[in-house]
Amino acid sequence: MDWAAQLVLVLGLLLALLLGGMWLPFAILISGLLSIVAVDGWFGLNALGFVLWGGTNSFTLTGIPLFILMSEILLRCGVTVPLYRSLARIVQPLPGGLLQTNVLASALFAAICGSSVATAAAIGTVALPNLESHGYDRRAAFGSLAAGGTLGILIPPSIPLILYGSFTEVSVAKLFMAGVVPGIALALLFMAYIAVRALVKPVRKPVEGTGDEVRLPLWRTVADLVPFTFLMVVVLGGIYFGFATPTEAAALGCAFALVIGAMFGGLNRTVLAQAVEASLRGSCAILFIVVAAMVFAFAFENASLGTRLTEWLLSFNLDRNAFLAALLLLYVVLGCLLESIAMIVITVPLLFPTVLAYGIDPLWFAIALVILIEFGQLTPPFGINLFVIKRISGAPLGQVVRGTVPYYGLMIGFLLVITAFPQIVTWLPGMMFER
Amino acid sequence: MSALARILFAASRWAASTALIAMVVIVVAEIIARNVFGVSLQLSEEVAGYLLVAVCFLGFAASYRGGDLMRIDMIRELLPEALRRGIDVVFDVAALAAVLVVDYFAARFVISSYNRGMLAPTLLETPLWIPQLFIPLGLTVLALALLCRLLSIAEEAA
Repeated sequence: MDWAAQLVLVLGLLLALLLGGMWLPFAILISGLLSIVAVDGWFGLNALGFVLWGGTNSFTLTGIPLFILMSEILLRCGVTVPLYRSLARIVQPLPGGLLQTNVLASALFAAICGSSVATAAAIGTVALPNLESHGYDRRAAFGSLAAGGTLGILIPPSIPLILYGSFTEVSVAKLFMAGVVPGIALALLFMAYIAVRALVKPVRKPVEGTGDEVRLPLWRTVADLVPFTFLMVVVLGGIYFGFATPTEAAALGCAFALVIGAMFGGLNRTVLAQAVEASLRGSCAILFIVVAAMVFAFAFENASLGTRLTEWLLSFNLDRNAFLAALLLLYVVLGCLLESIAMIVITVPLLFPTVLAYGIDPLWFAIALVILIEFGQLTPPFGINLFVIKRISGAPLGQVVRGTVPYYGLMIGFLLVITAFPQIVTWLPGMMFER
Repeated sequence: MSALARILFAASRWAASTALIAMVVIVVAEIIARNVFGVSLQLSEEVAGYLLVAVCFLGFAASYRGGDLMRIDMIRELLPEALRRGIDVVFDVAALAAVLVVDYFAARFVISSYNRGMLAPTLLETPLWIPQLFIPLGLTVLALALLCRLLSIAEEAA
C-alpha cells in the first residue's frame, strides 16, 4: 500500500473512533494494532511485549504519578484555601482585585501541579464562592480562572513536558526550566490585561459587607504562604541546582507534602488513602493513553511512516516561518479535536524529526507546543478547562467561553513574542547546574 | 463469577496503590542516601521503573471502572438512545478484542523472557520476567473489567 494512503487510513480510522465516542486509549490502541497487522500481518504483533515493556519501564515517566500524588495530597489537606486568602490580601490594591488573585493563585499552584485541569479545578473551587459573594462580573471571573488554570502545564512541573521529554529524549529537567520564564511572563501578561480592563471598565459591582474589612494580620498572610513556597523551592530548586532529577524532585515533593499536610492540614489515614486512590486513577487514565500511543508510534515506525512524512514535509521547501505557521494551524485545529495528552503523544513522535530538520530548538518547540495546547484547552468545542469552570460554577458554557475569548489574543500574541525572542525560553535552561 | 471479579479488581487496585507508595519511599531513600550519606543505592531508578510498570498496568482497570478515561461525547450525545447503546456495545467488544490480543502477545513475551532467563544488566540482576509479569496480569484484569461491563449491558437489555 502507498504510504500516504496508509497514513490517511490510520489517522482517518483514529479520528472516526474518537469522534464516535470511543474511550481515547482504546481508539488509539485499536488504530495502532490494525496498522501493524495491515503492514506486517499478525507476525508484526510479536514485538508488542517488548514495546510495552521498554516504554513503561521508565524512570522519566515515573514522575507523572509522583507529581500527581504530590498535588493530590496538598489539595486534600486544604492548602488552597489559605493560599488564596493570603494572595487575595497581597494583590488587593491592584485593579481587578480578586481576578488578579485568580491568576496569581493559579500560577503558584501550577508550581506544584502538572495539569491544567487540576489547577483550574483547585483554584476555581476556592475562588468562585468568593467572587460571587463580592459581586464580580461572572464572565471576567470565569475567563481568569480558565486561562489561569492553563498555566498548570507551562509552569513546571508539567505532565505534557514529561511526556514530550520521554518521547523525544530531551532532558525533562531542561524542559521544566524552559517553562519557568514563559510561565511567569504569561501570568504577568494575564494580570496586566486584567488591570487594564478593570481600569477601563470596572469588573465588580459594589456589594455591601463584602468582607474586605475582614483583614488578616500580615504575619498570618506570610505564614500561610511559607509551606507552599518551601515546597516550590525544594522541587524546582532541586531540579535547577541538579540535586535531584525531576522524578526525584517529585518523590521528595510527595514526602514534604505529607509533612506539610500533617502540620497544617488535616492529614490522616483516610485523606491519604483517598489521595493515593485518586492519584492512581488519574495517573492511569493518562498513562493508558501513553501506553496506547506507544503501540501507535511503533506502528508508524514499523512502516517508516514517520521518515516518509518527514521527507514529504521537507520536499515542500517551506521556509522556517512558513513551516511554523503551518504547525500553528495544525495544532489549533487538532486542539479542537484532541485533548492535551493524546495530542502530544500522537503528534510529537511523528513531527519531531521534521522539527529538528528545520533546525528548530527542541526546548522552544516544546514550550510553543504547550502554549498551543493551553490554547486548545480554552477553545470550544472540546476545551477542557471551559468544562471544568462550567462544572464548578454551574453557568452555561457560552458565558464561560465569552469570558475566555480575550485570552485567546493574549496567548497567540505571546506565542509570537517567544518566536521573535526565543531566549525567553532557552535562557534559564542554559544557566542550569548539571549534576 | 462477579464476586471473584470484584476481588480481583480490588486486589489489582491495592497492588497498584502499594507500588505507588513504594515508589515514593525508594526514590526518597536514594536522595537521602546520596545527598546525606554520599552513597548511591544504585537501585532506585531500576526499581522505580519496575514499579511504574506495576502502577500502570495494574491500575488500568481501576481507571476504566472508575470512569476516569476520556472520550469525546459531543457527537455521541446527539445520537438516539438505541443507536448509542449499539455503538457502545460494538466499541466495548472491539476494545475487549484489542486488549486480549495485546495481552496474548505480552504473555508470550514474558514466557520467552522466563525461558531465556533474561536478567537486568544491573547490580540487582533482577530476573526480568518478574516485573514484566505485571503487563499481562494487568491486561487480564482490564479485559475482565471490559467483559463485566458487556455482561451488565446484556443483563440490562434482557
